[in-house]
Amino acid sequence: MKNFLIILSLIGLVVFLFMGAVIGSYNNLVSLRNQAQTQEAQIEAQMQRRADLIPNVVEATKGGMAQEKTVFASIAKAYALFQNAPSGSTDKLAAGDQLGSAIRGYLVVVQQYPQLKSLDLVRDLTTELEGTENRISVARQRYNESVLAYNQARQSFPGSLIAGFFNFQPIPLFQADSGSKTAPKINFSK
Amino acid sequence: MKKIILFIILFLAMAFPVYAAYPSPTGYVNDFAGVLKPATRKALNLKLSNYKKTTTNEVTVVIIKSLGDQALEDYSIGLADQWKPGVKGKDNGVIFLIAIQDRKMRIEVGRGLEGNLTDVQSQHILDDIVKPQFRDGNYDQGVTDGVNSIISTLNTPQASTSASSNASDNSGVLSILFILLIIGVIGFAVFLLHDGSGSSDSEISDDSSDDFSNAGAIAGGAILGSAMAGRSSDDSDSSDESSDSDDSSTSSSSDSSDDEGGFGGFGGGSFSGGGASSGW
Repeated sequence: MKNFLIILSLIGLVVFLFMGAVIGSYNNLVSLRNQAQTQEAQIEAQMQRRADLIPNVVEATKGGMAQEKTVFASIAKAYALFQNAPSGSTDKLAAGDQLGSAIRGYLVVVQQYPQLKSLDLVRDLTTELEGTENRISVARQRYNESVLAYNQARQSFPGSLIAGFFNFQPIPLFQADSGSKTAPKINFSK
Repeated sequence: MKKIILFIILFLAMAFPVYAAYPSPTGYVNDFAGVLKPATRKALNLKLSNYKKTTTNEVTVVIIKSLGDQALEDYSIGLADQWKPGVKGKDNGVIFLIAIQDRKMRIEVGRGLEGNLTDVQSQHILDDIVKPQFRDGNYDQGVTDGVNSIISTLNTPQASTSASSNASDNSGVLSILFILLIIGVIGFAVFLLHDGSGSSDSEISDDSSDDFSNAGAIAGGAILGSAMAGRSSDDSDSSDESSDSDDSSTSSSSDSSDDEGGFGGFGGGSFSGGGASSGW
């Protein structure tokens, strides 16, 4: 009888230790996935911050470069696409990237208008745009770091077993569009 | 196999900026290029050290010879992630970075100060105040004027834009695990007491209750242990765990001396890429 009970409690012990490991690994995956999702939301928040500047930027420059219809059209289109994309979707981030492209093209054109460049308002708005660009870049970096941590936990042992059982999907890295690395800087030197 | 290689390459590519060799801070003024006069360095160090004492803001000047291959913004955020100036939770750090050979400079503003020192304000400080001095080669004057402007801008009360946006869910997970911990401790204590009370119904079950209570105690410990292990790794450098401002304890570590020998390191503040860049 006593031996039976010892074996039973040993089995119970093993089960509990196993449960402990499962719980620990599961919680870790949940936490890492949450961090990745938080970082993704941060990218979107910074993209929104950049998009919110667009109306002011257009307003400040449309008088001085009214003939640049293509540029204004492309920014307006990209802006609308971004605003309409559902929050939290990959479409939103892709639209944000396209808006970034449109903004960069727009800033290149503003370069060619010295009387616009010299306006304090234009200068400050461009500073804010560049600020949001950097914030997006940093947010994207942090997102990719958190995604790597999550994917790593998901692929290594014992996370791989837990992930398979509880259906933890891999998260894709956010690839920067090729233009974003070479953002043109406006030279405001007087 | 391809996936593994891709993973390794991406991991190295992502990890490399973080682990790039940044120098270690020596104080609030870090002149690795040796362009400042010693008197300027001392005066600024003292000013920033006192500023830290009165406001807990950690403003640091970093002057390097060259950025090497890195872009200014990449170097700056990498440095910020490594040094982490600013009190943890408050995220009130500022880095004034100057790359001499590249003739580039940047003010990198911590998350908690983005409302007090906006991108536009940083840009104006660099373009209107520092740049003219640097163009004439007056590094001492330029850096001093820049630091003074940064401090006075930070001191000006502003309508603070909400910098801390992400409510981290980790606090919820932690409190649940904490409750589990308490339950585990209580359960453990109950098992111990049950064992020692001796008020079991029959003398036969006395023997078996020993094993069960022991197993229960071990199991309780195992569950506790896993609950602790399952706690999220909140030591990750980049994770977004900015707590509300009332979480941060303002009990400053006892800074011994008030001269430049008293630098005790930075407080762990985080950055999200705010600030402005310029050149001369």
